[in-house]
Amino acid sequence: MIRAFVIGLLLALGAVALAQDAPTGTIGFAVNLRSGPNNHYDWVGVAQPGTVVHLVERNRAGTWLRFQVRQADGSVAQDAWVLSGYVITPPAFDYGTLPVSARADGDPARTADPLIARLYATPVTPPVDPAMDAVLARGRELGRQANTVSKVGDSIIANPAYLEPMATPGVDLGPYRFLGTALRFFGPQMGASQAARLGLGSALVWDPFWSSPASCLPNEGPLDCEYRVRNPAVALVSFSMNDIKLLSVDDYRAAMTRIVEATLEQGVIPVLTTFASHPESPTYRQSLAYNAALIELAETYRVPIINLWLASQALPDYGLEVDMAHMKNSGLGVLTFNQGTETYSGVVLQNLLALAMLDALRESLQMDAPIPETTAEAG
Amino acid sequence: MNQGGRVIIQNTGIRLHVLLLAVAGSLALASCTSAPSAEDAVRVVESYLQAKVLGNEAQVASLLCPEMEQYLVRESRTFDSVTGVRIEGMDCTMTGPQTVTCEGEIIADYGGENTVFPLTQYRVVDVDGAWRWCGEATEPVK
Repeated sequence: MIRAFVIGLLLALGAVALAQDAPTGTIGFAVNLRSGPNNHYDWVGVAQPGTVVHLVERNRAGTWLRFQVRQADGSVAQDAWVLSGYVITPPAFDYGTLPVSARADGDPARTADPLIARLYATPVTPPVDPAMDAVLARGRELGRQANTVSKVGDSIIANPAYLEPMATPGVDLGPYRFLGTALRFFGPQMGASQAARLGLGSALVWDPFWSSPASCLPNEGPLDCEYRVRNPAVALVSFSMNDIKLLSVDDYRAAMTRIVEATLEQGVIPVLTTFASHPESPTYRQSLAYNAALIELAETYRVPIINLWLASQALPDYGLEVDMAHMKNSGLGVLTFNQGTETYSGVVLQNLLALAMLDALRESLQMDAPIPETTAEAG
Repeated sequence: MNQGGRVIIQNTGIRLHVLLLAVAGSLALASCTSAPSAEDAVRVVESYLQAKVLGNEAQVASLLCPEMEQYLVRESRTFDSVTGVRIEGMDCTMTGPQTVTCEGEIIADYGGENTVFPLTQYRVVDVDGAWRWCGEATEPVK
């Protein structure tokens, strides 16, 4: 009895000590708080500007933080989740120092819609499947460059503000400093792609008319051209609105499957991305079905997927421009993460999540480790 | 013997007729299947590009070479995702035995922006005396 009391007391003191040690931040703007790291979790109140909070943990991508408001005696007055962009942290703070929460990014039990449930059930940046090791190894055999990334997609991907600014100095990761290694590893090689352009659809990546005659071989489609010219180890693949106008869900699934299979065959890791959609858009239901098809495809081939759809749920207008198709640009720079712009600009969020996924790939597959040399046979 | 000789002569005559008919037929056939002209090649390529821009599948099919027929759907739907597709400054000339080189570009609208598809070199093949469009030419672009 006494022993149990002592242990309990020590645990309580430990918790208080941990609480006191937890890094602090300040709420920058009045913001709704949730019981989990997304808007569909329960509303649990509003935080007022200037509230000092103790940061407890984060979601894997770092886009949501769990905090506590503590009383003078260390007791917890409030425990909630907030979009990280609303929290002002000390200049040198790194979200990477916070533990990753076990709380899921989404809760499928909170919707009756099976398509939305599918999207809620998929993390924003799921862990990398070990199956990608073999793809990376195959790429190395083919001479792929481990630090090189290709963009494959339509205007949302072709946007020069997407990933390409990583190649230029001046990127400010702010509290996302834990992504710095990925930025230094992949950033310098970022550039425009032969397989990402306005109007491109998933079925058109094989069509030589969509290739640049200046860079591509005769009769070479944009996808093969890009992989030959850039020689990447990773391809970020996303097709959405052009396909929605033209393809049934089954045709879309077939076209994306062909891209994934060809990409894997060429020793390139395809990273799929769900796309943001607006419930008031006439193509909303179709976009849900498309995104669900992408998740199914990622699971079938065990390839990485970024659930941009889920992450964008918390942004005003879902991070979209007024056309409800393209991601909203930021006026502060698309790779500036010290102003909380990822909480309203779709492009900034898109860049952040891509960088987070690239970091996960780098770390999980040890992409930046020196390649072991083959031992020469002794003569 | 005579009868036999007449038979031989008659047979020879038949052979001569058959031979003459064969020669005449060959000449006629040859005149029909003689290599089509450079003007025809240019016309086929330009017609093909026009049909492609319009998404005219029947016209595209009529101008495709047999080895490209498997790509008919792709070839006739190239510009489905864009609008206002037009060809500007098209000027094609035959620059090789099976090559037609085109200047100019296809321009399409996408969300208020232009997207441009430069014309290049195309391969043509002679199919039964008529040129057919057969993809891009593998000769280096000049």
